[in-house]
Amino acid sequence: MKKQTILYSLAAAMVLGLFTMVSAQEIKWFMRWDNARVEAVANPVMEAFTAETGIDVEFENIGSSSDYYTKLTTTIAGGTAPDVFYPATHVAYRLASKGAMLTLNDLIERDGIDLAQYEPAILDLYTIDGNIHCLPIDTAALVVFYNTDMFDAAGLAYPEAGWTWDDFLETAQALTIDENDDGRNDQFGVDNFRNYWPMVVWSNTGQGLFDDIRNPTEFLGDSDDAVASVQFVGDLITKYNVMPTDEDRADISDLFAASKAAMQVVGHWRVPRYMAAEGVNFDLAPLPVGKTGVPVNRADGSCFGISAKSKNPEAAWELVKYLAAPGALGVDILLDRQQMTPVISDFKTDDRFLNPEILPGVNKAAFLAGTESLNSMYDPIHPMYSAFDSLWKQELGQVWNGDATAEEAMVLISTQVADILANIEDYE
Amino acid sequence: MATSVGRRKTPNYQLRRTLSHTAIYLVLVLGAILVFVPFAWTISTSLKTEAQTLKSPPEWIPNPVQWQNYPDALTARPFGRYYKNTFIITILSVIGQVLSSAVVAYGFARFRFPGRNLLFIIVLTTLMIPFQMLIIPRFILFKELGWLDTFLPLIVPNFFGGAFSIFLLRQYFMTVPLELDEAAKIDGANAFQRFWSIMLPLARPALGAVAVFEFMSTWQDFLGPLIYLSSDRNYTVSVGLAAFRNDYFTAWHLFMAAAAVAMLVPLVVFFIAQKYFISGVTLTGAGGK
Repeated sequence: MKKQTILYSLAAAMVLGLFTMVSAQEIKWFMRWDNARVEAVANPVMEAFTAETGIDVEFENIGSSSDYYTKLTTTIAGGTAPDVFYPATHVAYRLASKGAMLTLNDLIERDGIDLAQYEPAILDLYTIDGNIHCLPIDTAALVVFYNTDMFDAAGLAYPEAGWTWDDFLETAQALTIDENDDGRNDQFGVDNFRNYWPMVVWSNTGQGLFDDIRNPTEFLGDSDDAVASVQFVGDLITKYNVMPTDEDRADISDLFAASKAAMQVVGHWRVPRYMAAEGVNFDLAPLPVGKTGVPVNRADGSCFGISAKSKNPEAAWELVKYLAAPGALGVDILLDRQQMTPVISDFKTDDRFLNPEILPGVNKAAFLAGTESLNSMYDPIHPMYSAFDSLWKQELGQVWNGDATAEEAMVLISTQVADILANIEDYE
Repeated sequence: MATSVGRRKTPNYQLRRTLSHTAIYLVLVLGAILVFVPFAWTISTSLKTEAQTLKSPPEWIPNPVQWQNYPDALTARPFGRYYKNTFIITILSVIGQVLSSAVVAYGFARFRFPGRNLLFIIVLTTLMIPFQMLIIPRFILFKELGWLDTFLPLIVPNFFGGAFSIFLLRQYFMTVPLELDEAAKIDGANAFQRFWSIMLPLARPALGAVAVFEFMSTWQDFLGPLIYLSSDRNYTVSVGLAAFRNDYFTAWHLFMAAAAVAMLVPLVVFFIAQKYFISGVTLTGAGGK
């Protein structure tokens, strides 16, 4: 009898063991958030997710993107990629085009995810040949932050939608102050946004820098309007002195937060910082319009994707839905934290984004302006982008220094880009 | 006026000596300031409030002094565990590096065998391989071994010598008179005994230098732990520090507080081992005495 009981209990234990082995699913989620978001967003999302689905999540977070991508690409190459990860636009494209990301079309269709809720131009960034590789949560939309106290002190009216680059320049000039006439500005009209120069080009030409963002064959940055746009940004620094040089900025990372610049062109990610900055009262205006008269804005952002090698794609997909599907808990919590411009329409109209109590009267809708023409800063979204990126940084550096005109620089860029485009297969 | 001639020589000489001393001290003081300023900045920032870190022009003296940053920073993440991990990895790496490099260096310094110079050149060439090239092959290797998310990938390679340490030790071993080996040989000592009882005790300054170099580089290593370790309980201090940084914002006051504590350990090690460290620097060039 005793032997039998032992046998039975052994068998029961084995069945139980088998059962727990099957049910205890675990997926790995790899993120690049700050500590605050890990605690306030990732942790409650995981808790709710595990409680509902029974799937355990192993979480790892690396705060800085470059370190994050180093590790992500190493693990992908090494075959130990995390199940769910969070690439930005250009990285998502690179990973997807190399087959490292799972195609989500079937899962989206099966679970009836309402794709109409996503801003089409943004979703398109992650779609290759009709295949969707990840679900976006935000856009990198740009706005003009402005210091209301400085506007009041200068007796200036606050900028309004539809203002032009000429208005912008006039405003910036009125806000640039050299108190003691020592030839050094004590307050700048606008902090340096020169790296966003393509945004000025979009507004004046109505198009990106290349004829086709995915399969570039021609560089359009040397058109008269594009050159004039670059020259405009250069002139803000060297001719009108309303935008600081590197020397002026010293190593202050943000002149707007330091109350040394009256305006700042940047995205939603700086909101928490300006809220924390002492004595900075700000409001938001949409980007100025250019020659085309059509408001523009920046697309980009980040998305949640699944590794093509995931051993548990179903469980990973459940987590992605928790993070980035319409109504997702992850986005829901993020809205409260004033972290990003959402890409899903229900969230865009949510009061926690548009009229948060913590930012009374601030024109958050400015982040949603310019959907008429959304463009990527990573233009072209092609492996040759990094070559183009270092090229313009080098040549336009001369323009920002005042050592070259935009035309001279653009001619140089154009010749070198032609060379890259002629040998584009080398970059693929 | 004859006396003044005699006198003139002395002040002139003294003046020149004072001048050259002043010049030397000036250079040293400038150098010290250059090294000290970032350190002072770390300490100063570590005692500021978040708002103060954003002030411009920046202020050197924090007001009020925010001691609370230290407990805040050190409890923001489990730094106690990170320290323990870093210590384990560093101590074992130092032991491995010193022992294995000494053995190899002894071979290169004392044995004649065909292809010795070629092998030595190959060892030195490994110094020129950029680390980035090795990341993925190594990662795959450690994955196959099942070592990912353990300390092994960070420790075990050190037991196979390091080109720089081997070079440094070999140069030192070669300055030890051969007669000592021969005397021991006559007394019946075998190669290992000669290595262990003659060479190692004599080479203490060089071994110390290797140990300190290895300590510093392992303690500061970021890329290795970043790639090989993936669970929080295995993180090292340098990876933990990165938690205060992200693309949009760095909590400089907390980052600097944690960094100041992280610097403390190498600083103490440096003061204790200063003698070896400096002799190590001169060794590589002058052959050491």
